Amino acid sequence: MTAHPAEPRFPSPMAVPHRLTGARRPRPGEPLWIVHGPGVDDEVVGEDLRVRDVEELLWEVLHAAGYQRIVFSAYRQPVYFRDARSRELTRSGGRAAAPRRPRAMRRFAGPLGDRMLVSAPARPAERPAATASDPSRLQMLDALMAQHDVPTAVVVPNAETLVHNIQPDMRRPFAEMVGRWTAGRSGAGNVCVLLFSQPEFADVVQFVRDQRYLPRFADRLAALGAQRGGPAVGRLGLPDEDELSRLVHAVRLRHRLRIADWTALDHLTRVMAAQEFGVRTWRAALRRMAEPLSVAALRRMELVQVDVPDTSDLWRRLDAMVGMGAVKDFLAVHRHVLRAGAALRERGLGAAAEPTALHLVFTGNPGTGKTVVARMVAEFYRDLGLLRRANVVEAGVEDLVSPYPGETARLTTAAVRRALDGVLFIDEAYRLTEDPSGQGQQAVDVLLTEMENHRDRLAVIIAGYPDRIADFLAANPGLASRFPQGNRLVFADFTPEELHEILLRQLDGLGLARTPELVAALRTITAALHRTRSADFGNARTMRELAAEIMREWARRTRPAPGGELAPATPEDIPEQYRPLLAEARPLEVVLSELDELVGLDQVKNTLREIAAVLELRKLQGGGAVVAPHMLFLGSPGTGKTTVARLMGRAFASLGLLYKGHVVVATRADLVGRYVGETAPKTRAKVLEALDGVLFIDEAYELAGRGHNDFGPEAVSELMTLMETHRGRLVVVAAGYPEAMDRFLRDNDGLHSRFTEQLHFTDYTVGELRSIFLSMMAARGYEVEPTVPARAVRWLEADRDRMARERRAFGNARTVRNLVDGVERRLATRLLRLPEEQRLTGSRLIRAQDVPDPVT
Amino acid sequence: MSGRKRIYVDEGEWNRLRQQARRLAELNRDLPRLVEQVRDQTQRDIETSLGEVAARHARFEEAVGRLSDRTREVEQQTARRLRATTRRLREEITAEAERQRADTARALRAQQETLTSALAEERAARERQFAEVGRGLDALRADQDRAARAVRDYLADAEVLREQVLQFPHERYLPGRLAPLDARLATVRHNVAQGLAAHSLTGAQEVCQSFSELRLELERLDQEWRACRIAAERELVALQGLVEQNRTLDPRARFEADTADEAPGVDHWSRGALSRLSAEIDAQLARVRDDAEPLPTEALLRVVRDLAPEFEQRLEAVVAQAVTAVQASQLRTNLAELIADALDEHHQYEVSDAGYQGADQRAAFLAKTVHHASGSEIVIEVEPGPDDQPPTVRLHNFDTDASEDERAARTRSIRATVFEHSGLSITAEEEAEQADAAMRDITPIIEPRAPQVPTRQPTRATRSS
Repeated sequence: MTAHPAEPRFPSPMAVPHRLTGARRPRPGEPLWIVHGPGVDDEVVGEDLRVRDVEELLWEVLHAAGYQRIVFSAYRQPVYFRDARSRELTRSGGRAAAPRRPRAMRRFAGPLGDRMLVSAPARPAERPAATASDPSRLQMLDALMAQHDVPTAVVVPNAETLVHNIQPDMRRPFAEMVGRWTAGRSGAGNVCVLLFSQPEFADVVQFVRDQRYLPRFADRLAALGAQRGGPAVGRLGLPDEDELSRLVHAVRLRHRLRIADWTALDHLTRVMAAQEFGVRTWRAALRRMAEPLSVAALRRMELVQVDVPDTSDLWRRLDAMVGMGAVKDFLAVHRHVLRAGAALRERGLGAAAEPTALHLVFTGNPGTGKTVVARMVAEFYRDLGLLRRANVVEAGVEDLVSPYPGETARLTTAAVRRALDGVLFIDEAYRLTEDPSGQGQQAVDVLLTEMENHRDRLAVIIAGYPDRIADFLAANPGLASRFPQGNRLVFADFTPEELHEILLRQLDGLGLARTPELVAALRTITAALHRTRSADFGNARTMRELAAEIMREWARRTRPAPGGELAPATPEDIPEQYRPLLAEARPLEVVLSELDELVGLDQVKNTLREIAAVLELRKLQGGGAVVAPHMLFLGSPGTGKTTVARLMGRAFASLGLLYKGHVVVATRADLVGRYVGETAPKTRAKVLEALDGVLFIDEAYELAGRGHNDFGPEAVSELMTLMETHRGRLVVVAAGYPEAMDRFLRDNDGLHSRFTEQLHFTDYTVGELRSIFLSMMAARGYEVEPTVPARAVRWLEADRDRMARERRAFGNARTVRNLVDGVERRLATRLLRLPEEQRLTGSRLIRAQDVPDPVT
Repeated sequence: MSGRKRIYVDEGEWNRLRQQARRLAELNRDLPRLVEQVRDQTQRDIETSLGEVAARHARFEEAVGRLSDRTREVEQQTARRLRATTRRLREEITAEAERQRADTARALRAQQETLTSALAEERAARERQFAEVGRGLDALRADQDRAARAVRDYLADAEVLREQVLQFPHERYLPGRLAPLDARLATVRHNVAQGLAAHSLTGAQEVCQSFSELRLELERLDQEWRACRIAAERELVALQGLVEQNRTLDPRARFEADTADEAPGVDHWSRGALSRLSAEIDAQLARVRDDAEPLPTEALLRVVRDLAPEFEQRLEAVVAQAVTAVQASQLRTNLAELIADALDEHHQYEVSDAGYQGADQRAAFLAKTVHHASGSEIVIEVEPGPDDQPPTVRLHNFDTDASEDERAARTRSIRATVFEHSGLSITAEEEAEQADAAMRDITPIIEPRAPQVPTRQPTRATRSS
């Protein structure tokens, strides 16, 4: 009876790399040791700079753990050994098989002694087929595991091949055998080591479960995975930087690999680690490397697919970034917090406390550098030893959520797996829960589970607009707890000066020379862009696009030839769509003087002037953002609401509150769709059209609901969202009859509060109608006989009275226009009855008979 | 259910391995040692043979002293020149030991030509001398007494020269040449006895000259024969040495195998072919050395030119046979090992017993493997293939509860392991539904049996560790 491996000799042998995590050796008393992961088919480089395959690695681990007989069983080779002793112990009576010697027999002798006259042919032997049937294999494995006298480890590389390909009639005996082992009916202390290539243990369990014939074994595996104390599942991942560094040295020493730059070796191994290749791949590549090893050389061999910036100057790079003072401060503090936690734990302090979470929330508008900083955070975590790699996997909602049932969990899990040992960056994370299919919540749940399962291997950064992120976290308390307040980082918009600097740097980066005039013009543009920016303003991204467009314009204008003179970029190269930003708006007084030309509207004119004055004052005071207000225009048709809206748009542009000041007129038909899902896009399209100007919604009360299947309220709701989103870039004017508007606003409280200004357009007086009639006639180039105005007034009064009687709205100026049109038609008819020679002379004069009789 | 699986080894790769083995099958040839050995074993024969020639020369020179003045002068010069030729021959023969067989044959031809031309010159010189003597004789014809005296001198000289001819195995070299000369000598004698001495001067001189020429001819043929015999002997002795040098295979040199065991014997692995060849070489050498029934020059030349190269080729083949057999046997264990590897590493079957059938490494190799958890057993059997064919591999499955899937998986891992470590492609098919129960217990199969052929090799089962 030989001693069993109760007290394994430790520490682990030099062969075992850090990437073997979890159970780094068999757990005493547990007959199974599962090792899974992409590394099981790889080679490993030990501390001793020796390259081993995984079988050799396991042999050393098992040997060090006290196993005397280590047996391997592969699909093609049911039983084989990596050492003579194990082989001897498997033979009858432990008799040693003579070692194989070249050109000699081990067993027999002929007339020439042990001379082997035949020799291996030069051509490679064909790959041997599977050499034993399953019954024989199982018989052998079972016999080995059952033997009590020798501590035995049976290693099954490619366990999935064995499990999957076992012949059908042997499945039951196989299941029974594994059952016996797991039930402890194997030799005491014996262990079966199963290697699976699945990266995640859950996949191993699933794989075994999918085989159908091993349900008990699958349960057993699941139980092994769940055991927290004393793991029996090891994971062999891909090589980390340390191991790759050892590989580089091993190849250098054995195969005279030359190193291009010793000081760049850290970065080089970092780049290598980021590619996620195994040692086997790297070793082959390094061995056939003809030139000195460098990142460039690897790139030439097409081995670098993932770029890794040189992190040696991480902080310098951060400092060099324009603006982002808060981000810089945060990271500096965050670093100290993390380090402090590590230092305390090292001294056994604060062990009970949860370590500082690595997960971060980045809020801010697009282009404020969130992705760039996420990459830096990954490097920074890696440098602190918190993550093994610095890869960042950027995932959008589309990468995580699928409308097909069951797919979402798979997609999310896959994204997490890709990001393991690095950072998972989820932009606009709130869109997960806004997903109409409801699958997004499942993605959040899976994400939470994975974050828990891989708490040492994953940092999740969620990013998006501040308020929406806040809502998102509020709605998902489980998620919020993973992102403590201290880990939430706000990316402010860049200031105009910062934008200007970023833009100039972008131009520098493009190599474009520029005139001082262009610099000045760009300052105006960036200031204007900043002033008119909306929530989705692209910040640095917009600057990058602008720089590229300037480059394009410059190239089109100067047509530089190779070797020719390169002219600098000038203001001429500013793209067309940015030019309006340069144009000085017309002075407010000029705009307001147009107001005076309108007939009547005294109250409107006064209110408008007051508003303009207040806004100008606030601008002068410089206290915070001044935003042009949304307005209600209340009044009957034809009282000049559209005209005033246009003037007002220009006035706001003059005040610098709107950048275009144009007016888009919309009615219910423009905003409300007839089918489900049609309304919001229609509304959005109109709003976008009106952006930086005025959206004039005529007869806005029409948006009120007209029953169950009406989408009007949806348009209102969408409109309110957009008003908030594009605050400062859009003025919405809702116009309509006072009473109808009043009812409408009462039913939509949120809407009411948003329209801070009301303009009341009263009906025109008779005198004003008269003036309007005359000015319209004059505008069309007609003279009128003295009796004409009185007739016209009579007609208009009669119409107004008739409308009032019929409880209809009098058309005001619109009715005047209709009257003018009618007068014109009658003039034309009358002229036709005259002889031709008289027609021309009378064609410009309106007579009394041209004005129709009042309609009663 | 497949109780017995047969595994086929792809021939392409197998043949490649076999070709490799054939390249390894070259003869072991330690030339300096071989030369030394040949010199050691043939030096005495050369000395003896050349001693005989020298003794004959001595006797000839002594006989020249008994010749008449006229003849003596000619024969003395011939004797002097012959001695020089013999000396050169001796030098050449000594040098020959270090020559390769092809060179030997060429040298022998050159020697013959040298001898022939030397003797032709000799003959021309003597004819001139004899002609001069003949012109002197014309003056004698007038003087009856002096003429008769000269005739008697010639006859005596002819008798002396005839004695010298008899020193050679003349009937072997030039059969039927002596009898006509004897007849002519008898005729001249008869005429002289009839008182016609003065008229027999020309005939006496011619007979004497003919004996002299015959002796000279024999001298040449004898020297030729001796050179050929020495060459043939040398070749065969060298082959004997080569056989000895290739009696075992050095595993280190041939297979880069590091084994402490005794080197594999060629005779064992060639199943006696080496012994049979060696016996043939020995027999041939005995025939070459046989003085009682000496081989003619032509036969000796054939030994050098044809027989020796043939023997050597056969020796090469025998060694190659042994090398490939050793390699095939080793490959059987290799294959079994790789299969056991696959069963052990992927299916936990351990080898419990293994060995060659009948403990003979030339036979099938068997290994039994046991699965301790289930008690299942698999016997691996690797049987030598016919000729150079890949081995026959069988798996005898004694696994009661294994499914066909499991067996198919085992076959797959065996195929993969064997291919990975050897490049050998194998295919398997069912051979029998039920395993052969007799194969389950391999112990009696691999036990040593009473050897039918004496084996020189120790056999081993599993390695002792």
